[in-house]
Order: sequence, then C-alpha cells, then structure tokens
Amino acid sequence: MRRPVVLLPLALVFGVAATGTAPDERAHRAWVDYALHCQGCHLPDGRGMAGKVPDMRGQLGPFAALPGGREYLVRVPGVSTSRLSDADVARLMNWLVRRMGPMPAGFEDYTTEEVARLRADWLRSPGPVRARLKAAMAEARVQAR
Amino acid sequence: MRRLDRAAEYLARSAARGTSRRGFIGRLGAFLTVSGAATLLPVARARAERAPNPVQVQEQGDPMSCEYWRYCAVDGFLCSCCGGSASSCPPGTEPSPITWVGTCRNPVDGRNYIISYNDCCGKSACGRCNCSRDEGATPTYQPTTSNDLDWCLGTQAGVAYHCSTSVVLGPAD
Repeated sequence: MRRPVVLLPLALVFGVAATGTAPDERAHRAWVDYALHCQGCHLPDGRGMAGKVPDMRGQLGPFAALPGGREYLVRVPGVSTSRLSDADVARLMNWLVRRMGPMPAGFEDYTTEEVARLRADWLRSPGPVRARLKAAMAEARVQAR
Repeated sequence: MRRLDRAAEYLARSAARGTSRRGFIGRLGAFLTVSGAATLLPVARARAERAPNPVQVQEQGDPMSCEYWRYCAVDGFLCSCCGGSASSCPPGTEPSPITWVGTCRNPVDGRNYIISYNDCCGKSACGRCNCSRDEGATPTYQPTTSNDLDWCLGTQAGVAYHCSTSVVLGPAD
C-alpha cells in the first residue's frame, strides 16, 4: 500500500510541470477574474438577470457544441473587450464552460492563440448571432428527441 | 367507569402488541432526519442566494469610518451609518443583485480580498458617512469596475439609492 503515497506527489509534480501552475491555483485565478470582471452583472452563480443579462447556467456547454458557438462565447463584447489578457481569457473560459456546463463531448480547451484570433473579430452586434445560435440549439434539441 | 378502564387497557395492550419499540425509535430517527433535511431543500431560497455570502476575515478598524479597509473603492453613503452594516442593507432596503467588484488590502494579514460593493436600494439617499475613496475605480465606460453607476437599476425596488455595502467575497491572491 505504499505505492499510491509515492505516486500522488509525482502526479502533482508532473501536473504542475504540464500546465505551469497547479490546477487548484488556475481555478482560483479564473474565479478571481470572473469575480472582478464578470460577476457584477452575471452574478456569482451565472444566473444573470432575466431580460437584461442572459442566464449562463447549463447554457455554455450547448453553445460551445454548436458550429460558431464556441467562437461566439469569446467574440461577445463582454469577453472580447474585457481588460483581461488573452491567456487570462482562455483560462477563464475553460473554467467557466466547465462550471456552467453541461460539458459537451470532446470539448477542447481554448488556447491563448485562439482567443487572440477571436477577440480581434469581436461582435459589434451580438444579438442576431445569439438569436441564430439559440434557434440552432432548439433545432438540435428537437432532432435529438 | 369499568368499561372505560377495560377499553383503555385493551387499546394499550393492542398498541403494545402491534408495535415494536425499536421500530418506533427507528421511525422517529428517520422522521427527525428527514424533517431536518427538508429545510435544506432549495425551496424559495432564491432571495437568500441573491445576496453574496460574506466571508469571515480577520478584522481591524471601524466600519463606521471611511478609513476602514474594505471601503478602499467605495463611493457613497456607508450602510453601517445608516442602520445596516458593512455587509448588510438597512431594514426596508433591498441589495442590488448586480454590482461592481474590486479588491482591497486587509491590513491585518496583508492579503488582498475581493470586495463586492452592493448598493442598498428602495429608500431615498441616507446622507450619513459619505465616503468616496474611489481607489481603482474606472470611468463609467468601463462599467464593470465603475463606482459612479447607480447599481440599483438592477433591483425590483427601483433606482432610489440609499447606501453602499462592502461585502468580502474571498481572497484575491
């Protein structure tokens, strides 16, 4: 029964080496960025305000799974024009999509480069894009039935 | 009288025969557990969840003074001078669910904490303990970190601003 005790610290060391920081630390930084830049309007649990701020709970996964939806989540003005760096936005979004869920199958983490590319093309008018994606989401749900 | 006596004895004996005392204890335990757990069910807790949960931190200073550490970026009347506290609204007012969020350094442990500046709304301006330290506040065209906005626009109580709270959400470091 000694082996797990030896392996656990090793796993931690390799985990830290792979991502640069420990997973807990990354999640904490993402939470701090969410608190300082998002939750004033989206609220701590992402529920937002009906009619003013969209409810993100259970929504980010389905959005990320749609063609153009993954891009939309970063191209919305609140994300794109925030004062966070591209690396911070990537860390925040990877944390937030998982937290709001449900996770789509085969979700791949946003990379800093992808975020930089998407932010350069931020949505001046997100409303119509959102409406189109919501319609596609409803259609996908009907087909799945 | 005797008939009453006999009826009572019969009922007592049949109850004793028909029930198990251990079973009763078991059911009583289950009842206590379930009734305890039922109050934890998410029934009508929407209001309770709206106000951010205050975090306990080591404290120093006077919450009725503008110099108090949590007020580093406040702009308005301090709720602790208006019948509320640094983290709760006075009676008769409603906390704005939307808010702006910043950080302040706690002099006791030297750590930075995330502070949510929730406005209390629904009554006219309190007028006591005006405090405008504005550290780190941005112009209103960067609204997520602007303290010049009336955040009461997000409440059901209307936009009447009464005072400001400074709620600690957690460590920022």
